[in-house]
This record gives sequence, structure tokens and C-alpha cells, in this order.
Amino acid sequence: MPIHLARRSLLMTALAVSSALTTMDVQAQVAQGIVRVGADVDAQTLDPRLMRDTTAFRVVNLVFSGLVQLDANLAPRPDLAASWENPDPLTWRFTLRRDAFFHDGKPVTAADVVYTFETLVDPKLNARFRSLYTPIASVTAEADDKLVIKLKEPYAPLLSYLDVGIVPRHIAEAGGDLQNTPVGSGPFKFARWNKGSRISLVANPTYFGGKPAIEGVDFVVVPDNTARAQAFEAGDLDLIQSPLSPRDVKRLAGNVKFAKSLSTGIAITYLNFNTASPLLADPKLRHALAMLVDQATIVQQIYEGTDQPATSTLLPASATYTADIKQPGFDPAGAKAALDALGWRDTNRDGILDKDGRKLSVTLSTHSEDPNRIQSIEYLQNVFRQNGIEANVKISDWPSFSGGVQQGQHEIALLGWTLLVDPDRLLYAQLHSKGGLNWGKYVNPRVDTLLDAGRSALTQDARNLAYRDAARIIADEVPYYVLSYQGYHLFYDQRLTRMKPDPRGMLRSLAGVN
Amino acid sequence: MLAYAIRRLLLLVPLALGVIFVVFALLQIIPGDPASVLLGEDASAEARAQVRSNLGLDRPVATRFFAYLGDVLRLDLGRSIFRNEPVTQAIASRLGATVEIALLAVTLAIAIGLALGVAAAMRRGSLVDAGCMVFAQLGVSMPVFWLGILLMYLLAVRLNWLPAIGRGAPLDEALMAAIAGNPQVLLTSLSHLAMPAITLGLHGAAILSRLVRAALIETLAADYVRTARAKGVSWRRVVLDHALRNALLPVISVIGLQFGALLSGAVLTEGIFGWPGLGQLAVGAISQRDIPLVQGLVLVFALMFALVNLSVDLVSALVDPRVRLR
Repeated sequence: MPIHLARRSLLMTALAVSSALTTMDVQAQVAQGIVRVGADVDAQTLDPRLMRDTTAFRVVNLVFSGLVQLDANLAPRPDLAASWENPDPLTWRFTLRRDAFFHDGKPVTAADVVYTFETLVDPKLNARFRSLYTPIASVTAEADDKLVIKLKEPYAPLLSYLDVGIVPRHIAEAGGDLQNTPVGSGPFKFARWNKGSRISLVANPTYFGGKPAIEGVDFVVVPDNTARAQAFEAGDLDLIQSPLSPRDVKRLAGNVKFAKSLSTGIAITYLNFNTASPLLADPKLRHALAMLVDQATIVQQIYEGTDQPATSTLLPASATYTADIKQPGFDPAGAKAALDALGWRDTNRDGILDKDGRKLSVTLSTHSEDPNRIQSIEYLQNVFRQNGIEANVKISDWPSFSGGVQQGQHEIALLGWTLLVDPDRLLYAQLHSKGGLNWGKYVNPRVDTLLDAGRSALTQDARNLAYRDAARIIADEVPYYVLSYQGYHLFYDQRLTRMKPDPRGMLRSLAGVN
Repeated sequence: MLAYAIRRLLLLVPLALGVIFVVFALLQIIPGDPASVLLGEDASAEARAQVRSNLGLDRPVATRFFAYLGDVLRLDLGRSIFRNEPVTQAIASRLGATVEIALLAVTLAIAIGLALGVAAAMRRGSLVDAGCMVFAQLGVSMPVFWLGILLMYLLAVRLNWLPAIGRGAPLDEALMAAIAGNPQVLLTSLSHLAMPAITLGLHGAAILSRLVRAALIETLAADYVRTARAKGVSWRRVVLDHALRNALLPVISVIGLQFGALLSGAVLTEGIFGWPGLGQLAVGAISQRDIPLVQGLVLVFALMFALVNLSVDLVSALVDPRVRLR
């Protein structure tokens, strides 16, 4: 017995010592002003031209400066560019600030900007967002601080995409590894990257916007959503943000100890109707099917109210948004009448509507990684079946599913779309007949005209008008049914008083710099 | 025994070839391609074709297979498509974290599993037995992710005894630091290791304790045990020296299986505790169709499993002289 007791007390001592150490760690870190941010995935690359995942976006935003920065309303503000002018629709002139330096001490010049954009659009680089920059004809340095961007065609969203981080040409051309050891000109310097675990940044005391108010930021990777929330509650993280599971959002939101921001972000969850499928080619049929989408139940029950039911393809975070445009509402009786008018009736009494001897049958698909999307699709299948439509569900992992959608093999696919900083991003690419990502093969000449107008209009008012008219037609013809505006949820330590929520999840406000 | 070990090691070569071929073939068959994942939703068909060509994925399958085989023979597993680093480096940087958690979890599983199993078998039908088997039932049936979340809630959120997430200094470095007179590093490392190791170890312990109990009860019923008792050997010595040694054989095989499985990463446990091991790396690689990384990981997993199996056979022969290695 004495042996057991001795062992137990040893164990308790070890636990007590270790817990004392952890507490010391935490206090030391708060005192040092290092903010620990929870991340759901590790970054894959920290090169601003190549980045793909949210963690990389958020790290790169702190390490690099762009020509512009987007503010919390997604409006472009000066960053490396002190000012700009737009003498004609195809020309943008930028004047760079002269007090910006890369973290290795070299000044940021127009040559670095030219290099960044030239490599970005080079197909050999495999840049994910290359297509956003293809309307650019040329980028020319006229002086160290003067720069001209010429466009192939008028391209109003250009400024919103010029927040891409400018990379140091001298390092990139010398073969420096910007993907693993990035060097930028932003408020924080890259320090260490423990792959799969932690990315550490330290304050850049010579940042042109002023020395950051905190010493550093650590991005800590915890893939499991609930575990990340618990680590935040336990004090091992100072800030967590979407993606979070709806249940944790509700629990944390009820805890007065934490500062929070619950808003809609710049991402949507939507149904993509393949208009090239013989059945779904008819806008009236798509409209009737959309009347069977029980949006309220999906958003309130499956997503537990943490997302917001969407009204159209325009996002509330955007200046173009208006609540006046409405997609078809949930109305099974109306859907039945509309289908009946189209000739779909249950003539053989098997519970499934038919027409000319053919059953009304559609395939609903989504990907297996997101349990909420699977539930939504299965619920839709149920509602469709109850209303006489044979609905088959096809669920596969993301590479298989997205590959199929990109090749237009789907009928109705449930998926998401993120980083919608400008209405052009979603609408032109997916719903213009010339859009590179028009997987549903939607063609409407009137929508094309309006989207062209939105792309080339010179004033925000003119753009708003064009996009609203286009969104109204889309809401009626339903090549796209937007289920929800994805929520953006942020919880943080109350001591981080400078934190201002940003719909993209960017964290520059932590530093208290511009 | 040495000749046997060498022969088994040589057999790894055909095994590796088989693994390479099967994994390569499977990756050809499953739909989805890395170019789509790499470029995301914004990619046009032309851009994807360009990327496929940049990655060399447009070459004929046979050409790619033999090129890969040649690289592997030169110990070059290629570059990860998504991580901008050589596959060997990506695996090496995670291997330490996986090995230390696997070692600690298996050690815990053996210690707890043996203790409970022996206790239960020695007092068969008693309250001790019932208690041990309730534990075993719970341990076997409780999903690892649930146990992990519960432990974290209790030990980190409620009691604040242990850090919820992350990894301290690698255990070997921490040990060296402790030897050099700085035990805090080691304590921090162990405090980070504790919860993931307990999570994985308890599950293993539950399985082992049932197995030990069953095997021991069977051996205790053997004639030689009665003979030993009749000669006047104490019950304790009969159990620990005579019976347990015979009961251990199947247990060692299962320990080997558990250790082998842990070496290929503990996906869920790593995800919960933010542990940078091979499991999350493998899941990420598969879901992105990072072909070179998947191939490299499966090859390494297969070789590690084969080596663990070999060790199990050698240990079995040491424990039980009746085992003949051929």
C-alpha cells in the first residue's frame, strides 16, 4: 500500500507541476503579447501568388502588403499604392509610397509589383487565382514609384483583386523559397513554420503603417472544430473563427467571458442546376423545383441558425446587395400546380409524377466532407420524394464530386463558393455564357449584357443597377439557388480590444495598424 | 535467427514493389485529379490541362509508373504537389511526432492492459474482474474522438491541468535537455503528450486486457499449472512465471498490430489535439489527390508495418522457445 500511495503522490506532483508550467506558459505568452489564433487547416504554401487555403490567406495578409487592402466593407483602401487614377477605362495609374520596405530591408519598388503580376498570370506558375487577372494586358513600371496597368477590356472589379501580396523580385529571382519562408512588407515578419502544427509571425517594428501593438501572432492548427473551440475555452487559443460547428457557436455565444462577432461572411452555399440536362433546361421546371427547397428548415435546423437564409446571388456584405430580390419560396402546393401545368402528372399512380411515359427523376449530389451538406441533400431528397419526384442522391469525396461538376456531369449539385469580394466574381464566371466556370451551361443573352455592363460600368451606381437586374432574372430562372449566406463567426479574448471583425477573417486589426 | 531475419528483410523488396504497383493503380482508377484541387473553383478547363501537363500527369501511365519506380530505387519519392517540399522531407518532419505518440500509447496500453487482464484472471468472477471488464467494454466501445473530446473537456477546459492542444519539444530533444539539467522542457513535452497518448492508450488497453484475461484463464486451467501448484509453488509465482509467459503469445501479436496501426498515424486523435503526425498528412494528401505524397506515405506505412511484424515474430521466439522461425 505505501508503494501505491507514493506512486500516486508522484503522479499528482507531476500533474501539478505540469499544470503550473502550462499556466506559466499562458501568462508568459499574454505578457509577451503573442496572440494565438486557431486554424482549421495548415497552410500549404505562403506565397501570395500561389496560396489556396484560408490559413494561408490570413497569414499572407499579415506578412505581405498589396497595392490596396480591402477594408471591413470590402472597399479598396491604399496600401503600397499611395494613390491611383483611372484616366480612361483601360488605364490605371498608381503612385507607390516610398517608405515601404521588405522584411530584408530592401525597398518595395514598381519593379516588384510588375514581377508579381507578370509571374501571377504566367500559366507555368499554376496560380489558383490566375483567371482573376487575365483581363490585364500589361503592367509597366514608369519609375520606382510609378506604375501603369493596362487592361484588355474595361474591368471594374480590378481594384478588389489588387490586394494580392507583392513579392520581392530580388529574392524570387535568386531562387528564394517564398512558399516556405515568405518575405513581405506587411506588419508582421515570418518567423517559423512547424508544418502541421504552428506558423509563428513576429511584429515588424519598421512597418510603414507603424509598429504593431502586439509582439506576434501564432497560427495553431487544430483540425477538429469542437476541439478547437474547447482549446479556446481552455485558454490555449486567444482567437477562433469559422469554420466552427453550429453547436459550439451557440455554446460560445452564450458565454459572456468571450468577445464575439456573429455576422454573414462572403461565402454562400448554393444549388447549381445543370441547364444542359434535358430535364433542367426549362426555366419553368427549375423554378417549380426551387419551390420545393425548404430553405428555412435547412438553415434553421441543419445549420442551427448559424447561417442566414439567402434571398439572391447578391451578398449582404456587398454594396450591391438589396433585399428586394427574392428567389422562389418554399411552396409545395405551388410547385405541384406548376409541375401540373408543365404536364407532369402521376398517371400510373406509383407516387411519382410522369409525362410521356417518363418519370420525373433528378440526381442530387454533394461531397462527403461536410456532414451538414449531406444532411441538407438527404432532406431535400425526402421533400422531393414526398412531392412525387424521384430524387437520387450521389455523394462522393471532394475531388471526385468537384471534378464531375466542373465537367457538367451533375444535375443539381450542392456546394459552396467563397471569397466573393465583388459580385463579378460569382456572376460573370458562373452565369455569363462566356464565363470560364459556367458549369451549369446557363445562357441568357440579357444576363450576359447586364454582366458585361457590370464589369465595365464606371460608377458604383451603374454597377449596382446592372447586377441587381441580372440577379432578379437569375432568381426567377434559377440556374442557381442560393441556400444560405454562410455565417462568419469570431470569438476572441476580451483583452484583444483592437480586434475589428472582417468578413474575410483577416486579422490586421489585431495589430492596431492600418 | 539471424538468417531468418535477413531473409525476412529481403522479402521487403517484393512487398515494396507490390505496394507501389497497387497504390499507383488505385490512384489511376479513383476519380478526381490534383489539377482541379490545386486550381480550385476558379479554374478553366484549359488551366487544368496546363497544370496537368506541368505536373507531368498527361504522360502515358506506363511511362509515369516506370519513371516513379526508377526514382524510388534512387530513394527519391518525388515532390509533394501541394506542399512544395520533397515527399521524404514531408514524411520525415511528421514521423517523430507519430513515433513518440505511438510508443507512449502502446506502453500505456501494455501497462494498463496487462495489469487489468492479470488482475481480472486471477480473481475471476470477483468484483475486481467485473470492474476490469466494465472498463474494457467501455474502452472498446467508446469512439476515440469522443474519448479525446471528453478528456480535453475534463483535463484542459474544467481542471486546466494539461494543455489542450499542440506539441512541446520533440521527446528526444526534451530528454537530452532534461539530462543536461533542464527538466522543464521534458515536463512541457510530456504534458502535451499526455492526453493524446491516454486517448489512444486506453483504447488499446481495453482490447489487451480482455485478451490477457481470456488467454490467462485458459492457461491457468492447464495441467502443468495444477502440477506446479501441487508441488507447492505459490499462486502468485505460478501466474506470473508459468502461466503468463504462455498466455503472452497472442497478446504480443495484437500489441504488434496495434503498434503498426498507430505508426500509420492516428487521424482522429491528431485532429483533436492538433498533433502534427502522419495521419492528418495522409488524409490531406488523399483528399487533395497529392499523388506522390500518397504513394510515399503508403509505401512507408507498409514498410513500417512489415518491420513491426518481423519484430513481433522475433520477440515471440524469444518469449517462447517452442516457436520455430523458418
